Amino acid sequence: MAGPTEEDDELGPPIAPLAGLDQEPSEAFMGRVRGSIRRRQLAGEAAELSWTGMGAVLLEYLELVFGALRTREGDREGEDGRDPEEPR
Amino acid sequence: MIDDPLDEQALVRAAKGAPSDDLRAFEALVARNQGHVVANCRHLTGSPAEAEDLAQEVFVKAFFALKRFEERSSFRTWVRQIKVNHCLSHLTKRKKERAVDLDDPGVADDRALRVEAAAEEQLLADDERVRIQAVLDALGESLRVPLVLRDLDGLSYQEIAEQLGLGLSAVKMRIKRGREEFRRLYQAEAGPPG
Repeated sequence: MAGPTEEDDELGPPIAPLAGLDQEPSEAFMGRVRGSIRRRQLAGEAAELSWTGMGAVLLEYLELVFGALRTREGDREGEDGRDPEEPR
Repeated sequence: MIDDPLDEQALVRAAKGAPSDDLRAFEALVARNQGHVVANCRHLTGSPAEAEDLAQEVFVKAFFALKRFEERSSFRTWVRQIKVNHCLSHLTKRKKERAVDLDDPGVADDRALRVEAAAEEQLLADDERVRIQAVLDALGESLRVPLVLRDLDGLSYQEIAEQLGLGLSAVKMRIKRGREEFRRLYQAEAGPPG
């Protein structure tokens, strides 16, 4: 941030008071900021939870698929009528 | 408003270290800076109706970016940067929505006329502050934004040129013209001397 320079020699009333120009917001402002932060925090948590949930469902699904494949492999070996351990 | 930098530093640390459901320290920082941020949002965008919404979004952004604040500047300076970026991107979005070039002098003149009338009503209130606000609102965007960044926010000419993507001489020219226009409208507001 720079202080006044030679280009600012036209400063003076009514330009100078601009620097101190504040505007207090309505009384509800702080509550709105708080509410907005809370909502975003909640949305973040919900998104995180849904990712965790989706991951768990995917793992469960993969386990099912691999379980089914293992069962099928076992069944096929059983159909040969031979003990898979028995030497040919 | 107490502007003790040490106190502010302590508040920033407290806000950073607080659990996510404890907003007290951050709220204290908001309370100290809200007047300035709301005023600047209003004058950057020229829209009293949008100022609080924009200021709210600025503080929410600041809250979620607080962990990344390295404290190399004051909290106020850091929030100012967020505010300037947020308001300028809001203005760009608004321009696109309106599909009107606000740099068009015709539009600026029209705005000035429109708000001059509104400012005339406010003259009755005989409130200098209200008058300054009305005059600022009456300035066209191409003059108002550099003027606000310089005279309200205290940015350097170089910083303003970078923020607005303009050359340094263009920024200096706009600020000079903005001040002249501001003075002219302000004097017109105040009425003839004597």
